Amino acid sequence: MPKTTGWLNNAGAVLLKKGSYKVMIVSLIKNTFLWLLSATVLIVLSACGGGGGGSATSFSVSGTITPVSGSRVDSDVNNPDDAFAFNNDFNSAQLIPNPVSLGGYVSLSPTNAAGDRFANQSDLKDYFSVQLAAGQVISLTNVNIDMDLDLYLWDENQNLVESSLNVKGNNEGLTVPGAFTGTQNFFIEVRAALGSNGVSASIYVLTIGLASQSFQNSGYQLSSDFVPGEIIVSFNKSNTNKNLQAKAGDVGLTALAGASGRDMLMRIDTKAQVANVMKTLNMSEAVKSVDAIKQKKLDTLLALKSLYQRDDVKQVRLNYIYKSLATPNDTNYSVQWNLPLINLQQAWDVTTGSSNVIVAVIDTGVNLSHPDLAGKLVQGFDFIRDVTAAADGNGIDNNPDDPGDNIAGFSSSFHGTHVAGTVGAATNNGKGVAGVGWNTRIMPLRVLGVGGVGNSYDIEQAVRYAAGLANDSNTFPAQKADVINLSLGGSSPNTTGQLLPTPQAYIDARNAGVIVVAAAGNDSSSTPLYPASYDGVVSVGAVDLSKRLAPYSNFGIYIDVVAPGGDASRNINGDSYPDGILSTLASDSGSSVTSTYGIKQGTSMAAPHVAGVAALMKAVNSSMSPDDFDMALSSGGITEDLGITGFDSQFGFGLIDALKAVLIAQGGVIPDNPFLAVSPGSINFGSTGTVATLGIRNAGTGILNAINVSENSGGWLTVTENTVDADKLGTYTLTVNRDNLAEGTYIADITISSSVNTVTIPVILQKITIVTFDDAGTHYVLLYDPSKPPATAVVAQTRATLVNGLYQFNIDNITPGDYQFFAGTDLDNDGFICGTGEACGIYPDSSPDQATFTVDSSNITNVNFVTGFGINLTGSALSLDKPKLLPVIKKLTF
Amino acid sequence: MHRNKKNIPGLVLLLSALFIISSCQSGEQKDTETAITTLYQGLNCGGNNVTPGLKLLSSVADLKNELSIPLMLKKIKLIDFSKSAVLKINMGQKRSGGYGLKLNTQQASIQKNELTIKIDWREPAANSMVTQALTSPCLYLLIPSADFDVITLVDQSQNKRLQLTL
Repeated sequence: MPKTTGWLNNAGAVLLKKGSYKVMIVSLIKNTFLWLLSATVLIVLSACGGGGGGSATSFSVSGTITPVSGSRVDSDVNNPDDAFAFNNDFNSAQLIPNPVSLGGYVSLSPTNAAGDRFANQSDLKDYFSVQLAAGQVISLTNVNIDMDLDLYLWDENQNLVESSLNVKGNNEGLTVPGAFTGTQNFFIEVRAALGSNGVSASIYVLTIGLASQSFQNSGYQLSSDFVPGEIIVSFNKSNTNKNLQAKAGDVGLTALAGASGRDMLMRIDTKAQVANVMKTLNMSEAVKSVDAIKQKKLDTLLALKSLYQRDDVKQVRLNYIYKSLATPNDTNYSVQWNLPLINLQQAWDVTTGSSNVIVAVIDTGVNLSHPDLAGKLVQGFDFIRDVTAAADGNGIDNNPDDPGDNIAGFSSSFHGTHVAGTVGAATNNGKGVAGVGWNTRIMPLRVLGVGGVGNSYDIEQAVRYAAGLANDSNTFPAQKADVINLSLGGSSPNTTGQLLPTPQAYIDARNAGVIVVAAAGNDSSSTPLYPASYDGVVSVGAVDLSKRLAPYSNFGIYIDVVAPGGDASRNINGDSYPDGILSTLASDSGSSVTSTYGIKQGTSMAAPHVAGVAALMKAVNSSMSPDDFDMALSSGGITEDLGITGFDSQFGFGLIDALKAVLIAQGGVIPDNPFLAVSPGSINFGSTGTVATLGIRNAGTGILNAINVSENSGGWLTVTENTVDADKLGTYTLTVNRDNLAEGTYIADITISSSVNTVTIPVILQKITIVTFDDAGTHYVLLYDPSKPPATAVVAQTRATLVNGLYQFNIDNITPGDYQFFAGTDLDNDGFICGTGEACGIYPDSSPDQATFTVDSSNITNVNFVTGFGINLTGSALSLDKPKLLPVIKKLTF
Repeated sequence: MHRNKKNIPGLVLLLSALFIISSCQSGEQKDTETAITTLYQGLNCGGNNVTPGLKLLSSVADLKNELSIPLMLKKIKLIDFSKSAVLKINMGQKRSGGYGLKLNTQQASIQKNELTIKIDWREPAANSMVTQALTSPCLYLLIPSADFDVITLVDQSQNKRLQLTL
């Protein structure tokens, strides 16, 4: 680290700053004056020399660690330091409170590691007994993607009522079924199902009834709407020669429909087939339900799980029963707030788009190998003429793969991949994200090279190619695009104040029937950005989750429409992710490009929403022209009007509305189709929330009235009008009062009826007293000296003492210095605290401004901090470049 | 004035002591160079703050809090913070693509306690076509311990961009 220096003062003495010095006093000096001067030098030296003074003093530090409210630990974890009681059947079920955040451990086989509690036996199942209310969400977070854990819910009579059986590595979640009031007793079972890559144990976190959970039904629950017994299977290419009967025989199921080379429909029918499935899954005990339908569905889910293990199976899925309000089963759909915001679920009921409709994404190129774009891409082109800018070894070529626009090799933007995913990621494929256009296909065209920069000429050649017009590639696409998306732009040196004339390429594309959509820009300005501001191009601004103009979005008379672009500086919906737009992405932070997912914000993200909606319109009306689209837009027919009634300089003609858009494209005239929409769809006040806002609106067209709002809480919930119109549409304030409530969980319904439909919104809250019995497991407190190398940085350690739900600790003999405390549990006994799923906390606050605390001259007491469970999203990397992780710290061994 | 000849040796000794003391300090700084390496560079790692800035990170915990990308965690563990520090350069939030930071030369100069580092501070040319997504470029550099108390960043055109006084 940089050293400091001394300086000479006016008196001629050298005043030294703290530091180490070598000093020689050569001999005694007899003259008194000189003797005194020398003594002064000596005094100065001793005062300034050395880094910490002379004496070897030490001090103690003590404090209290508070686990997050509602913490519990599984009574049989692998760490022998933790209290122990088996909980592996109904009779020994561990009693837990509600709400709760519980850290647990299960294993398929003994660990064989000396010192482990489960060295010689497995810990296959954990049972918990708990009081639950109908509608509560139970989430199981599996922290090891090589383990498959399953979640079961049993009633107090040990009847199976619900289960969540995702395939390995995925989290589980279910909703407590029923319409009972108050709470009832249930058993929750966490079961180790399968392991791979040598892994046979996992830590998990079980949560009940906490606020703002992002879980959404993944489709692998008993309550999911699928045909009991039926499974759709497709096999890898090398295994498609066998006919349906033969393949059914291979996998031990009954053949129903399909043929080699395409999907096959099979069924699990007989006891022998069920036994075979259990054998494949190494299940020694069956899971039984007295309900025949539930049993059949359970057997189906287990059969699906067993097929997932086979090397010859390419894809396996349930035969879902589709009803209105199609909800895709993509893993991260629940994070895509932007899609319901523009009524896409209702639009998908009308159409899920067509693979005959193509949207050209003119951008940085696309990560062609991304698994969530598989089957969605048509042949594209690379129009970057300059070889240096192209950074792919040549100029114009037929390879639109994005090699990364950051030539240093770290963290390229892969902007085009993100845009493409928003338009048309593979949807309802059980993974990744959903695309606006669902079945719409993408034509990737690369025009932005190094640094994400391009030029007008290259872009216009790509526009011409997309429209099936003559261009510098001297080639034409097999099928021209229906829509072009340009999430790019530049300003103009034009000082005349007039709009620039539209370049011929855009005029010709329009004349060829292609709708051209572009991003309006992020300069928070009304200055026109091009190509968005060209006449004939649809200019798209951005809104955030609350339908407010995004803080960066351009505005002004050149804005035609707005769409979700996000605001990643906020997290309004409390789903643990910034409110940006989640889509497909790629990363070159490693040695090669890998496909991933990520969140971005900008009008770049807004434009593909409009392009995707235009594609849905084309799917139901292939003859719709750019003029038709413009007329529908300017009439207000395909948007939700925001801001001032009609066109305004903030939102243009409003927020694109996918349902209105496809209806008007389908029939030419939007029939009156009012319907009541309420948001949010549920409200959890948790244990401390007191106020919330409910929005009630007409999400269709025509007149919606006779609004009546009522609730059945019995007094603890109040609903009052906030800002409503003459039809009582608008916002309402919800207030809760816990004063007269006994400790427990309470649920009520808010019922909003209208002239068309009725919506019921469940409301949940908890009343808890001061917790005196939280127990998140044995807490180790480690004293960490960050100035030391990591291998020797832990300089002291102690076990905290649990007293009335608080962990108290004291460490003696601490020498002066700057330190941190790390505290946490070690449920799996691997010698590390703060592993994923284990409780963890740091003192001081982890902000770099307060990275350490100082021990120098006295004992320190009241070092108080908190621990919580660390959970990472499994199966995909959602990040703005750097997910926040807590450190994993090795305990001292004695 | 009475001269005490016996004082002359004492004066000599005292002056010698003073000379030795001053010599034991860091003393006059010589111009030197030191090797800088890039630890990480990204386009969206600077956060939401629009203000460019420098930050010196001097511990594993500091750096892990900033740079928790799994591929980087292994590198972080190899850093000896008794001999090095990490400088984070944040370009500030930008409204489009086309921006970036890169180390220009690995040799940084130290003159009069000022460490000068040359970087490529890339901005899109006016009116050029760029992506319309917000970015926040940043650059992490590994700096060996040396005698400096000011860090200055100079771009490829010799413009002084940022400065940090320690």
